Amino acid sequence: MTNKELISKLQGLKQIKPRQDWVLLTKNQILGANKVAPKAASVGWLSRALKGIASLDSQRQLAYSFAAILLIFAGITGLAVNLLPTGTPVSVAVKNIVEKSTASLTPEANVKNKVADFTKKSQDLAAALKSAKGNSKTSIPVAINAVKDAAKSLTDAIVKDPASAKEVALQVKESATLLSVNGSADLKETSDLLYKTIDDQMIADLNKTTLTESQQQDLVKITDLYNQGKYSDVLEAILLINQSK
Amino acid sequence: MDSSNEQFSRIYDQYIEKIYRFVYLKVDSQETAEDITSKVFLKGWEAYQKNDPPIQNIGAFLYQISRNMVVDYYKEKGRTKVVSAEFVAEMPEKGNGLYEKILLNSDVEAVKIAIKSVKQEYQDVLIWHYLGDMPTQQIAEILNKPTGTVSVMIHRGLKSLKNVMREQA
Repeated sequence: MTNKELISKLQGLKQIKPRQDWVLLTKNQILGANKVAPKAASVGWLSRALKGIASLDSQRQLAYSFAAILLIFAGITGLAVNLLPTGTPVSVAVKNIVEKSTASLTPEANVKNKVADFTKKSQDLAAALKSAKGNSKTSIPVAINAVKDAAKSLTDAIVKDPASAKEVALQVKESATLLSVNGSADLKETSDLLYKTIDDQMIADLNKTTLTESQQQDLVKITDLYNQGKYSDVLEAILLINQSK
Repeated sequence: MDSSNEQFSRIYDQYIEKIYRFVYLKVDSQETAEDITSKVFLKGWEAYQKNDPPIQNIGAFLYQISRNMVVDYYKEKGRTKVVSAEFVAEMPEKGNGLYEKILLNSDVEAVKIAIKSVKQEYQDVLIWHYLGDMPTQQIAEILNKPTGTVSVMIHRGLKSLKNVMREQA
């Protein structure tokens, strides 16, 4: 074998690449946790927020912008209600608006809260498992139940607000990778239901979009996986298609 | 002017595959490689923000961290890999199925196995130079050796790898 042939084979190892969803998640975890760097201190918080919004896709921009506007409006009107004397026509009207605007925030904010809770509980479970080596394992069933409850709660929230499925899919996939604990069949069942709920919405979204031939073939395979009940694999496949679009 | 967040974001995009690949070839486990690689970039980000001392060559810096973390990993775990039964199902590795992205042909698989038998320092220079596209001068900075020495190491590394593959064939 010549050196040239050997180098060519060696360079074949460039096929080894990390999972794209892991790459994105890790980037968010590292850079997302440290958004305000000392070097950027001179830039106003507002422009940083706007830059953050500008980097999102248009659907998320609209969703987050709308949520931000409602939050600001709710805050201002909430202050007005507290400052005005009670019983005045204006304060009553403002109070009604505040109640309505608060109610309109509920579905999206609810899903976000549920995802955050689910992620936290999954991390707690992973930590409990890691610390269980040689120590008492009594905290693990408690952690498992907490994750199950969080998963059920999140599933219900997504059923009520199907459009949120796409936004939370990546986070759920990463958090739920930890859910397959040996001996916890009902936890797997709960996580499968969560996956399936997200899968249903995202497959419906994919069917509405224009896909390349390769993506269409992938969609057929995704459907097969779905019919086999491999909901976790389906979600990962869909995330890969979305990233390649 | 870009914020350091944006700058490091570009650095991350540029090096994530290379660092992951370097670590993976050392530890031969996707889960472990992901764990170590994420720690490498976290540490890199902390140092980048702190900027004290200033980092002259971020790529070399990240590889140095990777190298040290792999050494620490083996020191902590020993050479025997222990897989907890509680993490068995639905591991990130997918041996079969639609999304097996690392479907190496037999030749490349042979190289992957062979390179692990080569001396550590030769492994590193071969991976950096041929897989990381790193020039010998940069490798010399990482290893704190003369450039000529690095060239010799690359040559010896290739020779060693060739011998191992010949024995395996």
